[in-house]
Amino acid sequence: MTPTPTVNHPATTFLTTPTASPTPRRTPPTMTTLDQNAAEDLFPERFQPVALLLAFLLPGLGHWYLGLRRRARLIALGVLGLFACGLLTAGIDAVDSGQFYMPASTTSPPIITPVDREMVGIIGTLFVGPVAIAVDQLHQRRFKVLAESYLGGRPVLIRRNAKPFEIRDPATGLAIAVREPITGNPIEFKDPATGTKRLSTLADRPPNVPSLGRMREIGGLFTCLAGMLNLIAMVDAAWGRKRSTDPDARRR
Amino acid sequence: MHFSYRPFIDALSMHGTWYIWIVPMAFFIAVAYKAVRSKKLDHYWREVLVMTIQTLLGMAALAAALWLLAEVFVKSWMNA
Repeated sequence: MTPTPTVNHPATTFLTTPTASPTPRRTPPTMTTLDQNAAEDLFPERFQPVALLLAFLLPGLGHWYLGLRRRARLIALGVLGLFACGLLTAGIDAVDSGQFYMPASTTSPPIITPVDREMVGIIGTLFVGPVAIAVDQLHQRRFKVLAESYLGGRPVLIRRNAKPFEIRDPATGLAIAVREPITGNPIEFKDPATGTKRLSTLADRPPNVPSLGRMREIGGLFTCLAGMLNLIAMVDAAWGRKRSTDPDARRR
Repeated sequence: MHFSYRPFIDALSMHGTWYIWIVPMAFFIAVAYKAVRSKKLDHYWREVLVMTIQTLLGMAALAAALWLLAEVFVKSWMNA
């Protein structure tokens, strides 16, 4: 009796006859401690959403949460230092989300405010977090004035910086002219505090002196850079750092 | 009209010497950047100082190159 010949079908060959590897399998090299540290630096443990949120709420807080106390303090110093320098150079105008238009009466339809350059510039600054948002809201609601204007031939109210010859009515936010616009001579106006008419003095001043030219550019650059650096810190806290369980972490 | 200056509210009047602010700008950028990127903080302040100086020298070199381009080359091309 002759043995049945084995048919090696191409599709089943791998099941019956294991093919030999052309080259012998190499054993993986053993990793040194240095390599392992480098690999851990490259591949973080996991995404840290709480650290990301905290880093946005206050610069450095994400790293503080991860146990990296010294890094947290230094990040806060760098980001908030830049932000403070912006306010110091350009004043509160350094954080400005732009001029807003609103209907002149409550019965008028809403107005879509045209996007201007200031609105684009504020995007970078907003990454500083609630501090920047609070300063912008303070600027919009306590320092800007409401004045009558026109948009596309339609009467509107515009929220804008006060001019040097205007003061702000604290109750309504409306602009009140207290000087001649060209000569700067005092004029009679109705004092919103007392309700009486009187001539203006130097104490009647706009809520803030608007920043213009180079100082406006430098101030905006400072605050925008603060936001961009905090964005880097947020990414680092969320993806780039492992949570430290080392009691000596406060030194790192 | 000259109103008294109130810090953090009014703008500074330093239009002629605005470039002085590049120094604190470079310093605070280095403080935040090195706090994130340095593997160890053993020589942190030295690294911050080096990065600040590098940034200032780089900006000075860029300013010099742009001055050469605008004042020397472009003007000579326009006169030619």
